Amino acid sequence: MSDDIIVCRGVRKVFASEAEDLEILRGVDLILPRGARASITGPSGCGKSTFLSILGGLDRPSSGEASVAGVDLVRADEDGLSAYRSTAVGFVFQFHYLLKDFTALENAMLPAYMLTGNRAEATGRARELLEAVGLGGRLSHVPAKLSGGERQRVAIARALVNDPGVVLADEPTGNLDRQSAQAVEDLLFDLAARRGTTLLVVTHDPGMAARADRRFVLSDGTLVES
Amino acid sequence: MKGSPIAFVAARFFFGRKAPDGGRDQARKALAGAVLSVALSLVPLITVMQVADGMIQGISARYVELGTYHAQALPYASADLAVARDAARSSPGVTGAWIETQSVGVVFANGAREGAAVRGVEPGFLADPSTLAYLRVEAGAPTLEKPYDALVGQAMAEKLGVGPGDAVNLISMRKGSGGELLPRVTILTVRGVVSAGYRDLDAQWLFMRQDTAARVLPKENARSFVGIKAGDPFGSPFAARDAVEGRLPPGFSTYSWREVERNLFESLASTRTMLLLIMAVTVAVAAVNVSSALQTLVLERGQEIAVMQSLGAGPADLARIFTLGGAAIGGLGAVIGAAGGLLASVRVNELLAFIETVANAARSAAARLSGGAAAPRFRVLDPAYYLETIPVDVPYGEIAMVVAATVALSFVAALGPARRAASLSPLDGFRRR
Repeated sequence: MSDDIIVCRGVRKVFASEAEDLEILRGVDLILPRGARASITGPSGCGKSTFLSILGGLDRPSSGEASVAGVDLVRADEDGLSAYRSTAVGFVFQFHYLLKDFTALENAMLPAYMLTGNRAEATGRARELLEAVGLGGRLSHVPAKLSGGERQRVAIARALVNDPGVVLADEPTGNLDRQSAQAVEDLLFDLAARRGTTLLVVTHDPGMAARADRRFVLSDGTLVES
Repeated sequence: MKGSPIAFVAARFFFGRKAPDGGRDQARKALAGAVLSVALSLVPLITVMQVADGMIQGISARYVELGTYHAQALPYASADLAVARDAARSSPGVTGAWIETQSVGVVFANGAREGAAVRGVEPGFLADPSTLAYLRVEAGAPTLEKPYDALVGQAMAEKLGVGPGDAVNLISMRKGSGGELLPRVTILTVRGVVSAGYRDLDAQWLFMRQDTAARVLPKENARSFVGIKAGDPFGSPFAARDAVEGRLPPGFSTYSWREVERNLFESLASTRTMLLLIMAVTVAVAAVNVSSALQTLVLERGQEIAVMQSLGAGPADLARIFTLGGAAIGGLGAVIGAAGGLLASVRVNELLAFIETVANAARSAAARLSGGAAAPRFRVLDPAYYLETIPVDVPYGEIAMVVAATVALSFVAALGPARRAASLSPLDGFRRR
């Protein structure tokens, strides 16, 4: 079994419109081994988030090959992609995207509960993670009662609760003040390192990008390692 | 996704917390409106169901216990009624059998006259507990001791101005040998004034002894039969007929009350069905509300649906969350509506009395203010045509069916929004801010 967890070859993404077709990704190649911590930088609108969406099974490439954790993201059906998102990958977005009617604990445990149907077990795992991200005292708070940094830490706990092989983070500190951003960045990299999780971060922040073992730049629709 | 997390997510999604400012978003308001509309649509449906059932049961019971009997054995030849009656009485399960002779006539008293359905009954019929349960004695006694004693219905007694001890003239017509109509006057003494609690019956009935009726009423205009009672006529409508099957002498045909009063019963049942269908339309409209509220939720919560998808919820999971939520909304509305309907049903007589009191007070006030004559008393249900009080007999089984049907209808109404939620692209959902 290959040790590469992310394998992309010639990934193209074209957005069709009546006026003209817009080719965002023009044959992206990326191969990352398990446990790697990588970053992608690039100008706004260059297709970083689109590439991340393809890797996350939220979008499909127009052509090329994309496989993560052994799941063929081009050929998998909808149920297959749902199962992939549930088990193999965790997301951390720029906006926290916590469900507003759920407490911090419920938000963090939800992926595990959805996967196993075992609420007690899911709650235990989420509680452990929330304590690890310093939110042990905020378990019953709804997102509206949490600060921006706290919400993002809940989102990190949620992304990790099913112990996925890959965490995809799209500008995870983009909405935070400097202090909170640093805390979230540290947490993300530390937890990924401790758990052996592959981390792929899309960021505009050169400091965060520099913490990655592998650094890539997406420009003109192609990915170049710097 | 398994059932328990789906129920958990649906519960949070549909009945989740208030916003920090204490308010609710548009989708939640729409959902609350949908619950309310389902509840409000069920209140009249269940009330009408109970009232209609009560009225049908009440009217039917009066007809059956006081007029039709549970079954009638009709002679189609010169059969011996007394032998048939005795045979019926000795049949297992039969609680009573009596000969009755019926005809029509005109009753005169105090210068007034009234058409009458003359019923010649045996004294035992009037003493039977099931008869007395529905025959209220307004004055005198419900007995026919002497050959020319009579009982008259309350409405007829009022019209003729007679009471116990008064004489009334019963005029019956017979054909002479040349075909001409010959009147026969029979003077009867009123021994009691009775009421079935249903004016239609009270206005017509004149009871007299069967042996006298057989003698004085013209045979060509009279019919005699054996009335039979056995068990519960509503639980087992054919029990009395079946009890005497094969036990009567030759020359009799036996019919259950449902067969004898088929027209009446079907007319009442058709009216009930029509009313319920009209009410069911309001439930269907409420189900449309459920659907539109869910559509609003899907539109408003597109981003959260996308989050659910990113966490691994598949199209089928989302569809189940929304159909379960739709059914829950329908179920909640149905339970609230059923409770309201039940409350209105068990208190329907008090409710009608309250409406009448308020309406009459308003009419009196309006008449006083306008200087006009006082308006006649307003009655929601005129006892001239309906029962004076509506029997309360809550149809729990049917209410349970209505609740279940409402839940099913809400489930169906949720299918469209559920399909929409399931087909939502996660990226489109994330773009909704």
